Amino acid sequence: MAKKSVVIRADIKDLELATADDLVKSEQLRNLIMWSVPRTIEYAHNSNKQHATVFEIGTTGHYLEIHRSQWIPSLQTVMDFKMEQDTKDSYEECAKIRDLIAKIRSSTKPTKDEEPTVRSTEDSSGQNT
Amino acid sequence: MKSQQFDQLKIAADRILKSSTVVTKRRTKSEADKKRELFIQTMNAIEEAIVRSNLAFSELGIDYNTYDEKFFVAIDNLLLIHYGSQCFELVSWYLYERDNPDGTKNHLVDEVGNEIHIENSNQLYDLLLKINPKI
Repeated sequence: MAKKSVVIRADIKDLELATADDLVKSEQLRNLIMWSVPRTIEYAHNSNKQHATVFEIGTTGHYLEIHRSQWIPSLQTVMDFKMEQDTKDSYEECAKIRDLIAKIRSSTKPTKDEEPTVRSTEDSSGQNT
Repeated sequence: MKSQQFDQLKIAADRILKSSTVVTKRRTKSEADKKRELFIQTMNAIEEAIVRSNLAFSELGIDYNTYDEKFFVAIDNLLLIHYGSQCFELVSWYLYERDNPDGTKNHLVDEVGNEIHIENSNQLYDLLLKINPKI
């Protein structure tokens, strides 16, 4: 049985004021995503889930998730990032990610699921946007 | 936090990962939901312990009853303290008297003669709430 996963909570500095361009440059966010994605995808794959939960956004009750159809491209990006780091630990992590990609590929069956569109989030008034 | 902030975060995550992400809102569990879940987990664990003990005896001839007795007494006392005597009697019935050796199940009968069938711990919890809404 897969161990119960603990979803980490991301307290991103100045999130309320930041634009997407600011967030892309944030080393804190990048490092968090690169650390969390392989672990959460591995857990989601072993637990036969459709979404991997990367982190909770602060204490908002909103979660950043990756659908199963996007796991392999996400892992490949993480692998490229680790390779650029060029350290012994990063190469070892790359090997684990490579193995995880192979496992996902070998267990992928054709499904009727399509890649989901962006889910709407509720604003503070409770209305969908 | 406004929804556009989540959209900005999603766009940034998509660019960092070069793939598509989603931001979802999950319903937070109420205290009542958490209590119900805890009750169901507890009942399931006790049931599994009883089954395990019986299997060990029937399959392997190992009698854990004497060893387990003290744990079950402690659990019973805690249930009695927390739920009160009326609910505790129902819980005891569910754990120890509902199942017959031949595999059939007993059921309860209310004051007017209606049969009450309790199939699982979730239904048991519903009944306990009817008797004592404050649990």
